[in-house]
Amino acid sequence: MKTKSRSIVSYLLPPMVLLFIILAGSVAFFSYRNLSSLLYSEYYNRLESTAAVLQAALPDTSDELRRYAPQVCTEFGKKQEIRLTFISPDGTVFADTHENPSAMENHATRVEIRQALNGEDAFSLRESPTLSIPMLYHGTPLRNSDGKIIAVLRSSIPARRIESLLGSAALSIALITAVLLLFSVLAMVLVSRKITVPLSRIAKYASSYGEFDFSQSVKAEGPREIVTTANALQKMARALTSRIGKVSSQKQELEAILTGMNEGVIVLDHNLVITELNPAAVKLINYSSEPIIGKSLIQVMRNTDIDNFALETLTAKAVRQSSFVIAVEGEQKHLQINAATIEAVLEGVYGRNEIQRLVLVLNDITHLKRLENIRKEFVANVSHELKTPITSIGGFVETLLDGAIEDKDTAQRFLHIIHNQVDRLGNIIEDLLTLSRLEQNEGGQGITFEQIELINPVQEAVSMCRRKASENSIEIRVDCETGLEIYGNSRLIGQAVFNLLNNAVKYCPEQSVVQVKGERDADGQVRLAVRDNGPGIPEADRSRIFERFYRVEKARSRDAGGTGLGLAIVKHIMITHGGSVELESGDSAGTSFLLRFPA
Amino acid sequence: MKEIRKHYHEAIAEIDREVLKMGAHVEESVGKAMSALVNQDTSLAEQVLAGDEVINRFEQQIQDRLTVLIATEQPVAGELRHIITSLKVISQLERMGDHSVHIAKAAVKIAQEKFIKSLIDLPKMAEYGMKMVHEVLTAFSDRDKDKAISVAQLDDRIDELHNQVWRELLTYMMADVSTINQATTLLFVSRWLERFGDHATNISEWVVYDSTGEHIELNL
Repeated sequence: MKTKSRSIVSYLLPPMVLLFIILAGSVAFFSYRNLSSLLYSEYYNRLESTAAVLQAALPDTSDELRRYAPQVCTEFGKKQEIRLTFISPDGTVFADTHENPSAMENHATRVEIRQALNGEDAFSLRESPTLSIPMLYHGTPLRNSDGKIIAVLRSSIPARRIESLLGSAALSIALITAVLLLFSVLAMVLVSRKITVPLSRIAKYASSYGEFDFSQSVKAEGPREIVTTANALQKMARALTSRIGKVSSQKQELEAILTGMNEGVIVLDHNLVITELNPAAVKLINYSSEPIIGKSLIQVMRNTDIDNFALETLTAKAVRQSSFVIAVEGEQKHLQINAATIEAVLEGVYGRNEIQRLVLVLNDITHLKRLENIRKEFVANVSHELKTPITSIGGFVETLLDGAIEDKDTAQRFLHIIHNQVDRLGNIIEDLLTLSRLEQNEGGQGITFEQIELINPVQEAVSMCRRKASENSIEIRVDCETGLEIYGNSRLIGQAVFNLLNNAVKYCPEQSVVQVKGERDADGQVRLAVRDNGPGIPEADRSRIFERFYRVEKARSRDAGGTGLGLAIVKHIMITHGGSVELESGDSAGTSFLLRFPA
Repeated sequence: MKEIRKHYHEAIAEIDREVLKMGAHVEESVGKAMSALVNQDTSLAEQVLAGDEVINRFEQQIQDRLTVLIATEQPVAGELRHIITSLKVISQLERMGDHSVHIAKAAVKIAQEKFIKSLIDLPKMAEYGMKMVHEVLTAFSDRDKDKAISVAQLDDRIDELHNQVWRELLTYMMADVSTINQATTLLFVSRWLERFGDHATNISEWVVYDSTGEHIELNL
């Protein structure tokens, strides 16, 4: 993402420096030029005025001039820097300040001499062939009284002086320019830092916002534009913070709802790969290896029916509901699954993205299924239990009508049986009514509770069983502490104890012993145990004996006159009392039921 | 690079899911065959017989897709190994499906007879077999060789149970000749379940090959 970019300074500096150089350069150039022409004209003036003075002072005849000239040259040359040369009109030199005239070449071709011979004053700047240095020359004609040119006076001065003056001037100009340039660059950098420093600070904040860190607020000083930008950024950060807060709180809310749900929720993508699921779903499918997200439905559930169901719903883009049976750790679970397709269009960084998701809501209906089964079984059982005595009564009545009534003995016997069966019917209906009353009054409304001695209902129940027990030579031993007080209904507790004793007496072989033991345990709870040393209850039946009409040995217990509701009534009586009944042990050493009353 | 191979990886993930689905079918079919046998439920056995068609179709389809993938994508190294492994796994699964069918047929055969003994060890063997398919396919899709190796150890339990059933049925046959017909059928069921475990072990070996490139012997 990072492209190489240049800073503001590097944008500003080159044009500014260029501009400055052009400006300073032209100022320097023109001032240098003016200075140089000023200097030159100064020197020219000196030569000119010297020539003019000498012109007036020198003799105006050729012979006299030739006699005096060498003397003038030497005299003048001693005092002045100016070199004088006298040249005759034919170009030969006859006097010179520095050189021997006879050794000097003809000067007629020199520019200033030529022009002077034509009668004009003339200047020239050129290298001296005799001295090999640049010189300023001035030639002026010397005339006799007739105005005829008798010689040319040439005065000259070395240009070196001017050049050295000009050189030092140029140096100082350059120096000043350089110093100024340095200052201006420095000033420019300082000024641009005024912009770049707050800008880079803003950039730092902006990038920390990019990483969703809104803890710092933008503080920027400097130019107005930058402050405005900083404020805008700050505003944006605030807006983002509140938006993010809103979104994340919504997400948390949603997550809390999903987590709190009892139903399992699984979200699948178009490939049936799990993208999200809640803890309830994890518990339901019981998939051990982490992580579940990213795994496909078939891998996690391993159920082709559910997979096909999901696939169908997804292809049909529909909402469906169905029930499945899955095996979890060897146990069968009934699942009701609601599936719904959701389609959403995501506006993302990479353009519009249509996504299809499938939401599965899993409901564990194992418990409901079991209740349903119990209900079905109950209805079937009730009908069966009622039908048996009625069939029997019907049969005997028919036989009596067919003539058996004439035989007194038989009729007597039949009527006895019918009476027994009616009793049985009455018992069943009585028990059913008791049960339904108990169920309606679960929690104890409608039943009078009072503080009672446990021994009283127990004794009552024992005395009711006594006759039948002695018929079978079964001994009933009561070992109940006195002073065991419970809060309950004496009649109901008596019935519960009676039911338990009745069972024991019915199913125990002769010479058995039934023990009733009441005590208070360490927690202050009152417990009543009814133990016998009868045949016990087979392991497979133990979990179901409290169900209505459940019989361990179907035929035998009905012969023994049971309704199949006794233990169910005991259970409900104990529930009404806020206590519980449990089968303590039921192996071949005998059966033991334990009633617990709340403290 | 990543984008270019995206199609390939998606195709592989999809085929992996198909393999898992085929495995789930096999798992269900052996479970159903076993409960058809135990509960003498011929209609459930018929379901298993009909379901074998589905398993066979899965094998063919996955095979074709893998072939096309080899032809068009020219996979190399680990990718090629996974494709080879997938091919081997589905042929093993197909054999396992056949064993379920055999068991279902046996269930039909003795559906009307009274069992000479209650079936306890055979369902246990089937349960271990189902667990093996289940776990080994998890290892396959997770490319988890350690899990594959640990799953193979379940096969020892199946073998033990097989030997036990064998001895037991032999004593029944020696004691009472009339039990031979049913006992041999049950013996075969036990044998098929034992083979079922062996195939699952073979899958474990291929899963190890998938992640290491080495062939190891787990079926000892």
